[in-house]
Amino acid sequence: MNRTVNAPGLTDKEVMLIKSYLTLLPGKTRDDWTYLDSGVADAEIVPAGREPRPGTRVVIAYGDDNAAGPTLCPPLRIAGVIGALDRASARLQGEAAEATSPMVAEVRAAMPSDPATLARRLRAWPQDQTRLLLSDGTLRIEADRQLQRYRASQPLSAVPLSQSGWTEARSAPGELAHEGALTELLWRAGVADAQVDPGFYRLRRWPDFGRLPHRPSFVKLAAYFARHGSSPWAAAKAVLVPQPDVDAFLGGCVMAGFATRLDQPPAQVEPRPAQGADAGLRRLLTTVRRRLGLAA
Amino acid sequence: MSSEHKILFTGTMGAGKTTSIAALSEIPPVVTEALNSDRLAYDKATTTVALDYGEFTLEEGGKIQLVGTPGQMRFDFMWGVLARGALGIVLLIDNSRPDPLADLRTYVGHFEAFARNGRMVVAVGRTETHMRPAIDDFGDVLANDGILLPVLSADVRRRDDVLMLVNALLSQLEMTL
Ligand SMILES: Nc1nc2c(ncn2[C@@H]2O[C@H](COP(=O)(O)OP(=O)(O)OP(=O)(O)O)[C@@H](O)[C@H]2O)c(=O)[nH]1
Ligand SMILES: [Mg+2]
Repeated sequence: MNRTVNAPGLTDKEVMLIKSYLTLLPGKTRDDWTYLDSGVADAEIVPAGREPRPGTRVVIAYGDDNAAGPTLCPPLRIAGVIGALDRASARLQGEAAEATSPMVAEVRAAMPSDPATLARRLRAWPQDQTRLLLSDGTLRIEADRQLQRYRASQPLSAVPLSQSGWTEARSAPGELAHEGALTELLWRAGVADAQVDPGFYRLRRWPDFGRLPHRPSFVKLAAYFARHGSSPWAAAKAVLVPQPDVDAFLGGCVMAGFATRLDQPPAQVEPRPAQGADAGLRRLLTTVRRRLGLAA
Repeated sequence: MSSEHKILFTGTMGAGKTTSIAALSEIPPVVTEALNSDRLAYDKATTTVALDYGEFTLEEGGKIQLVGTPGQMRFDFMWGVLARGALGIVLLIDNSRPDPLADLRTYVGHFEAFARNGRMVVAVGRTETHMRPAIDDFGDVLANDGILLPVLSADVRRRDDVLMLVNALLSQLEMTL
């Protein structure tokens, strides 16, 4: 793709250097870049303390290693310029992916004010036939055996939603941001609903706590269910977490596909006799938590 | 139990090891940065050549050492030495690299005992510009090896994100007791 860059805040000498590098770059960078002498370019190289021109889509911070986004550090070397431009390309492309996925915004907008209701409705449908439909900002849940119908409808207007189904959406390009939003939707719905059928559960994936909203106790619960197949009730006792937290955690996990219900009860694990070293480690971990201000 | 313990930070060049350690250390981190001789592999001015070191002290006089492996592959002979005796490992993945899933395999392969015992957490960085591979893809790679670990998106420039990684690591360690 052809892209433009400029650097009105740099010295004439630096601009000349950049221009001469650009002539050497075709084929070496993800996009083809030309220098734009006047007007607003796709990317602007901006020295610290200066403002980019209004309308600039991507800012390459010059001489500021700590800036968020692409940076470029003096002295100007060709490898540095290549790196910065490629990162700018990634930004521009990310922006494009986001733009072609208005559904992300739509999913957010359509997020029901009462996610628990959504969860109940979702649970009522046969899983492999459930589809989440979004149109004009409204969220509809439908079941249909003719999956094709939805696949063929408006791009991104229908997304498979069942626990195994939502991973299907990944195979289509450009739907990743969308998928992330859906996972979040399911997670929120399940957490709010906090309903789990009696039985034994085990974690199959950790929820991405870097992104998904969660209660402090959820991290512990994830570690527990990753190791033990367990009933919600036994988990609450083992991890010393209130039952509603366990139910919310499992509700979210099951809805978003992070946990599965076991067909049969797990084999009983013999409680290990506490050993001296274990007690020491336990104390240590508690002290580290306290020191870092992490909830126990 | 001795009173000095270690958490290891590992991952490719520029993945954020030094940044993570600096976020937690209460002493100015000891960094052995040198001018990066390999700017085509990764464009940053300096890189860690021997190791990073930071620490924070605990009540009762204990200490947690924060150790980072050097990012350049030519130093991988040091990894085993640095990992010896570590409580756990924070593996930092840079999602803007050409093949982050291969990076995951490499590091998990090197530190397999840690990965299998749940003494590791995987942090995926730069997801704001590089959404692929998805977090789930990393989970798939691990699951194929029968491994379940936290895979969390994290921007280690934010201290809270680094704390979340440590939290996940501690939670897993607690479950081994
Ligand atoms: N945009 C962005 N930048 C990040 C993210 N995580 C880390 N960084 C930046 O990436 C750089 C990482 O540098 P270091 O912390 O020195 O990485 P390192 O792993 O110690 O690298 P070596 O010592 O060379 O192996 C820093 O400039 C961080 O600010 C992220 O999620 N997004
Ligand atoms: Mg470093």
